[in-house]
Amino acid sequence: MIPVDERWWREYRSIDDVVVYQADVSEDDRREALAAHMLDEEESERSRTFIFPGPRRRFVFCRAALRSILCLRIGCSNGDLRFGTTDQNKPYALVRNEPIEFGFNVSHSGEYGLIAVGKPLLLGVDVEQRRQRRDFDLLISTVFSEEERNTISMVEAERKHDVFFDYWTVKEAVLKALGLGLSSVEPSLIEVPQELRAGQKSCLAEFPKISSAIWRIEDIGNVAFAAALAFKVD
Amino acid sequence: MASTADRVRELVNSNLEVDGKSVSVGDDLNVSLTSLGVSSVDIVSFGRLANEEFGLSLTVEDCANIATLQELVDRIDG
Ligand SMILES: CC(C)(COP(=O)(O)OP(=O)(O)OC[C@H]1O[C@@H](n2cnc3c(N)ncnc32)[C@H](O)[C@@H]1OP(=O)(O)O)[C@@H](O)C(=O)NCCC(=O)NCCS
Repeated sequence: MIPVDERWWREYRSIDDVVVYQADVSEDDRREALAAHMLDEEESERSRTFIFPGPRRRFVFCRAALRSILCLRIGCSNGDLRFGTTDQNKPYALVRNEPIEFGFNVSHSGEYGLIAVGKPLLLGVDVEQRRQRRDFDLLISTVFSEEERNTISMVEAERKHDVFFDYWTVKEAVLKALGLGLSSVEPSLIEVPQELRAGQKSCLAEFPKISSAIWRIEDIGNVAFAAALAFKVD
Repeated sequence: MASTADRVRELVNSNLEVDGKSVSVGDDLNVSLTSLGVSSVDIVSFGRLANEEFGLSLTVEDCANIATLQELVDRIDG
């Protein structure tokens, strides 16, 4: 286990039964070696497939932090924990080869990693480091519904990119909670709830085009990154 | 005239970035955008660029289902 003062993750937010941890995934060779040491053979193999160091580091830091967090929550040893993936690549955890009834999800972007864990099994988190792009208009026309496009067209030009990332992370968090990917759902089918578009940070919502459940949606972003959490409400 | 593979390589190398650095793919196009560490927002954006460049009408779902750059080349040529 990684000693408390050496950990690169810390609790960021706690919402109902869900805790979101923020991981520092910035370059640090000594830390990366520590983190890499926690991975199993399959994960180490995967880390070697990344062509660039940044994506590899994000995977290694977040996976090792996830391992530590789950081991403490479940009370198992790192060696007993293994991950499988669904046919859509959503990871699930096994302890001594038995699936655990515990929700978790990971997201990373730039220097930031978020790890959400909690009771709801259908749990998704998404983070995007805020940055300028040349192609916001193209993206807006591709991934937003007509109503979302109308809302965003009323936002001042200098805030448009922030709002784009805020909306995008909500869509991805819901997709990820359902264990789906962009390969199976058009993002425009998940409409950012009216309450969030009006500036609220939290709401209950339905996404009838893709799910019959009721969802809690939380905007957990800050000035550096946009982020959203989605989980199914019983 | 440049081959489809060259044009796809050029489209990737001049438009996709990871951590602020241009992605530079070489001869082997049997690489996935995910192994390059390209984020989902960038995959969506790249799909739109490919549509414009090659006169395709790929949806977001289509783009996310294309496993490697070589598969994209085959789809354009096919
Ligand atoms: C994968 C996807 C769910 C999120 O992508 P993203 O926003 O770029 O990445 P994030 O950092 O937010 O999330 C990645 C994490 O989500 C998890 N994840 C992967 N697939 C998932 C799924 N279907 N559902 C929920 N979580 C998933 C993994 O833990 C992954 O992290 P890890 O690999 O370090 O363990 C989604 O948007 C997608 O479908 N992307 C396209 C994948 C693709 O198109 N591949 C081929 C293109 S060439």
